[in-house]
Amino acid sequence: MSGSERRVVVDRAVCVGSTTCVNVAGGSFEIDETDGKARVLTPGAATMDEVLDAVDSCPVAAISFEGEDK
Amino acid sequence: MTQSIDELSRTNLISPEMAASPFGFYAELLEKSPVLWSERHRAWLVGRYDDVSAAFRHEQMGADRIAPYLREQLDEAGRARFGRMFEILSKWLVFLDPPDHSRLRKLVHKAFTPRAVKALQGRIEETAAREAEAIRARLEAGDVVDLVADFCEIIPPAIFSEMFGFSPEDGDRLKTWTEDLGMFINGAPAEPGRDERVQAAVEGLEKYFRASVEKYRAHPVDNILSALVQANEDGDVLSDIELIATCITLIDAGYKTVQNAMCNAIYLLLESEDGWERLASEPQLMTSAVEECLRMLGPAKTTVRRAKGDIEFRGANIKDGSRVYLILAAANRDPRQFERPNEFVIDRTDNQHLAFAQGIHFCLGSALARLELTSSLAELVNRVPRPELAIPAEGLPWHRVLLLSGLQELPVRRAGVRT
Ligand code: HEM
Ligand code: SF4
Repeated sequence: MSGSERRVVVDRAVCVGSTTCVNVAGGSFEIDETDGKARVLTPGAATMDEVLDAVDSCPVAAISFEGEDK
Repeated sequence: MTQSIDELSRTNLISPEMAASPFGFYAELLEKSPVLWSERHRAWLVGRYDDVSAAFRHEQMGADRIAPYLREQLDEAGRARFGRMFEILSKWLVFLDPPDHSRLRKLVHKAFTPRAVKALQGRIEETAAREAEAIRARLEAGDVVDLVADFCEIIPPAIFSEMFGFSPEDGDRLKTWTEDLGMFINGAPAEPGRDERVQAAVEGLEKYFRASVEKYRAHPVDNILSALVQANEDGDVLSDIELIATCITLIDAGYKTVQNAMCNAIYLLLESEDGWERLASEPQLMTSAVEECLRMLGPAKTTVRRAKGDIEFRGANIKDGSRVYLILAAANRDPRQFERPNEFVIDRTDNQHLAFAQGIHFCLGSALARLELTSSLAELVNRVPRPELAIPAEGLPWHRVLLLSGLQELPVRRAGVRT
């Protein structure tokens, strides 16, 4: 992720593969073809705003910043 | 009751008995033949949790079940009558496969943001509080109240009027049209006059939304429809027919579903030992309670896919073009996934139910649905002392449709008073 120390993570047990994160912040997320769940791209190309939008938009709150409560 | 595979295969999924309680059938299906060809419905039935989940992620489980229907089931006259409807339906997210699906979903998502959903909370609470107070007063006066007509049916249209900026009178018309359209889409038994009503509904909806789109294109405002009109992704925008189709799909997908989810949840609370009282005294339970209601009696009972090419799926040879019924309601009670699957556990944790599906078609409105359910039920249990069913539970009228589960009426009266 550009310009940030905080590492974003996807809880893959919770992810339902909605692809919302890829839609709003495609530079930093992709769908893993093997299980249809999201994976974080590092380094990601999305802006911090886009990543924050992805965190907000995930329908099951599977995306968070490492070490922070959801 | 125990049935042979042959009997399971000939079971009519929309008989009155199955509408009231399909769970005995599902349990046998999961046990005896997890992927079964239904002679009765000419479709494959898939019910185990892992299988439904895998099907949602399977690239050859196509979502397009509209174009093939148009091609195969309709004669010349039918095509003339329903041509425009199919054109609109073919732009619905839920019937699209990638890459068309990805493009449209991305654009719609621009308007349907978490912020836009959150902004509806005040209106939901206000509407639910007002209706709950009226219900309390009527129950106290000794009336029988139908919680479907007087609560569950009122909240979703109120929220849509906010999202789309229409008046209450418009709301009534839209509601009738959507119900008529639903008769076609949700797999209800054919009734006389159905086709004419469906056709009139599509014409009415198209005309109405075309006018709205033109209005907001000229004068943008702060609501979801206006945001859809403005949505733009690197210069790509929604065409007029996509805008109209998306409005109709949002109403179709978000109105009856929430209404049914709400009445099913209220029914489960009334049938539970102390669920109603616990929610009133322990509001922190609301989130898990709503998820448990969605698991036990989600409004989307089944959803349909169509095989793109021959598929070898869990031992079944699914031929190109065959229909596949993914039975969410069966998966949500699969004992391989859920402990005590038939028990209502109000504080259940680790509840990854499939009520909103999975994968690329995962419900676009899940956040709105959850907000409507938690806020409305909170107003209800906080304002109204737990009532009791006014008729025996066995007599409750369940909708007889393939895809949805919900009640036509839920009559209740003040608890403990016989009239
Ligand atoms: C408790 C209420 C609801 C339930 C249980 C529910 C369930 C579902 C399910 C199971 C699907 C997937 C269908 C499939 O894959 O074939 C779906 C898709 C969808 N839902 Fe919901 N829904 C609810 C409420 C809403 C609301 C309130 C809205 C919007 C206002 C909405 C909009 C949509 C849309 C647009 C899709 C299609 C998404 C796509 O195909 O990409 N739903 N819903
Ligand atoms: S938005 Fe959430 S559920 Fe959807 S793919 Fe991304 S992480 Fe998974």
